[in-house]
Amino acid sequence: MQKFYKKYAPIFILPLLLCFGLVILIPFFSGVMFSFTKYKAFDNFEFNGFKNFELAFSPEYAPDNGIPTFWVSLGRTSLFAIISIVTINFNAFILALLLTKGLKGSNTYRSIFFMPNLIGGIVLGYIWKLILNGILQAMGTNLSANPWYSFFGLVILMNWQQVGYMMIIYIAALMNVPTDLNESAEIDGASKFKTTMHVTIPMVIPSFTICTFLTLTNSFKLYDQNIALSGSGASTNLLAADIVATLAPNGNLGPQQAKSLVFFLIVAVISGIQVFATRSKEVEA
Amino acid sequence: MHDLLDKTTKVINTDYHSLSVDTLIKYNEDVGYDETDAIAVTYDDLKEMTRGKELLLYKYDLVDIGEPRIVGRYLLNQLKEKDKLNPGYLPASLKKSVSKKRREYISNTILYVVLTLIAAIVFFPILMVVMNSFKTNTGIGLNSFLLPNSETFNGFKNYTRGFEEAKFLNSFGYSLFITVFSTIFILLFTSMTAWFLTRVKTWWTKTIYYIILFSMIIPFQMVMLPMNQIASTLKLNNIFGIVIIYIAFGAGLSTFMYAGFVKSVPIEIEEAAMIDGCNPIQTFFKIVFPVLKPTTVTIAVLNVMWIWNDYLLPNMVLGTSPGKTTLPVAIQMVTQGSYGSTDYGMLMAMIVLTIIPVVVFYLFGQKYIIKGVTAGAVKG
Repeated sequence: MQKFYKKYAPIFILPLLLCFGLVILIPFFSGVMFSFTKYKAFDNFEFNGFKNFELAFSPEYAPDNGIPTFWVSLGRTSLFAIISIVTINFNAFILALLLTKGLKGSNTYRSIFFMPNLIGGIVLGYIWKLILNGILQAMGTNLSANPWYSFFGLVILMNWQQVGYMMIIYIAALMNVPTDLNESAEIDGASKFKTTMHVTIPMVIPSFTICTFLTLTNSFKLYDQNIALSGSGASTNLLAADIVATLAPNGNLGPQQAKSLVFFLIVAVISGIQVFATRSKEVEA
Repeated sequence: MHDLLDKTTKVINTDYHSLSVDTLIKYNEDVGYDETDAIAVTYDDLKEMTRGKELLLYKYDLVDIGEPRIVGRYLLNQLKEKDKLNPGYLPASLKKSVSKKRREYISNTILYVVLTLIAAIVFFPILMVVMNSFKTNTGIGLNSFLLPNSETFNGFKNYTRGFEEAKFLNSFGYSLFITVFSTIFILLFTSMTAWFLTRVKTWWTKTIYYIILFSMIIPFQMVMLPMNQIASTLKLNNIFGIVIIYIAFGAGLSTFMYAGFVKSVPIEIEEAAMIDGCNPIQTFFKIVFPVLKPTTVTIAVLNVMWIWNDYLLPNMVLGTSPGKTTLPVAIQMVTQGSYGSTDYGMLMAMIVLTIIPVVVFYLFGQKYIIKGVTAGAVKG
């Protein structure tokens, strides 16, 4: 039967492969190559070794403090990711615990909490810009006065958007914890708190792993919310925004492509660890 | 006291299903409540009482003062006896002690207050935007938390400006067209590819499958410059061409999710269809595709949400001229207004108009949307 199927390969896979090759495969491999060239257009490039990387990470690209913007953004993004992972997952897990107590109307609350996740990044950024500026105005200042205002504004924004989403994943995990495990812990005399700490949480560890990596990759790829809330500027850019805002000296797009390659490697490493971690950390009931 | 217990026993032996609320209140009085007490304590429970026999006891459980408490304990013990003989007579909820019930009641109330507060936090930003979309720019600048008053109220002027200056309707049409057609083609192409790659197992199908999967970890920034140049060379930088670009970016996750589902579909039905003379194309569209429906819904939701909200891709490919680009780009352009300063009133109006379809979509397909959007994460 397989032979019979194979004759139809062009019809089944060619449409997707054509789009895919044209839009992703060719750009990806040429992108890797362009990182090592002085590159202005597809038919206008010459190899220049690691010059782009030197350029992209040189102090010339650091208008303020002598450290290249890429490293500053990378540091800022890492800090942002850590704070987001802790706050979002903590809030989401607490909400999931509250909503799995069998309370009437839990489903309605669940739907309400999930809703912000559907609003697009640009729109979200401007919604929160309005609110944060309103609050800061009352304190006699504004968002652009201090880069940290934008930074923590972005943390608040991401919490508002993502907590409902992670909550759904935790709820699904909590529902899967067999009730007899909790009951037998209670019969053995464990308190509610102890049952949660020693029975429930170990059972939902796989979902913690999933949510941690989701928040991590979301933080590293964050762009729309970042530029909408704080505009594109060296003092507020996260990694993705820094790459897009990279200058092109004499029309040379090489430095931007070089940064992208490093960015890709970072994301690839995170994904690799994620695949490894989700496979090895599961608890069986 | 003996008299009281006698009456209580009578209560237990009665078939409560046939009792009306009034009779139950009367029993209350008989066993020693004064009238106001009985009704106060039991009013909420009475609603439940009409449902069955155990409910009378429920109400005694909530009272822990004086005689009624003794009666409650006695009733509970009686019912527990019956439960031993006839398991299931006493529902699990009633086996809890009085104080536990009461504690639960209090903690539930606190829980509702907390949850409602959080719900308010969720709604607050959206209400702020709606409110400010009816204010003048000066009004928003002065204090964005105030309701519009006679001076700052701007009617629908922000909205009409959005329609005229930012060409909202055109952008809406662009977004709708691109989202709908990209999603349709993604569903069609990736389901076909996923089915074929799962059913035909050779070295090249595996290679193709893993290359498509691999694309999921490529960040957009990595391919955007060469992709954009290819797109403009091949004249893909228009409303039709961008659909092709979206098909490629949607390929990874959608193929992966379809392939996962195809693996669980029994191959026997397809073989039977082949024997009956169907060629693979007929088999796929008549047999396989209908079976894939639940996954199709999930993948459709996932792609619609992503493409509708996408910003950087249309910004690069379509450019930023008003009325010839998608909504997120149009909104971003409002803030870089031609007059130098941002027209916040118009921005708020545009945001409201952009959110409305999403909210309507969510109200109707909530179940599928929650499932679809989260499935993408858990499986990806």
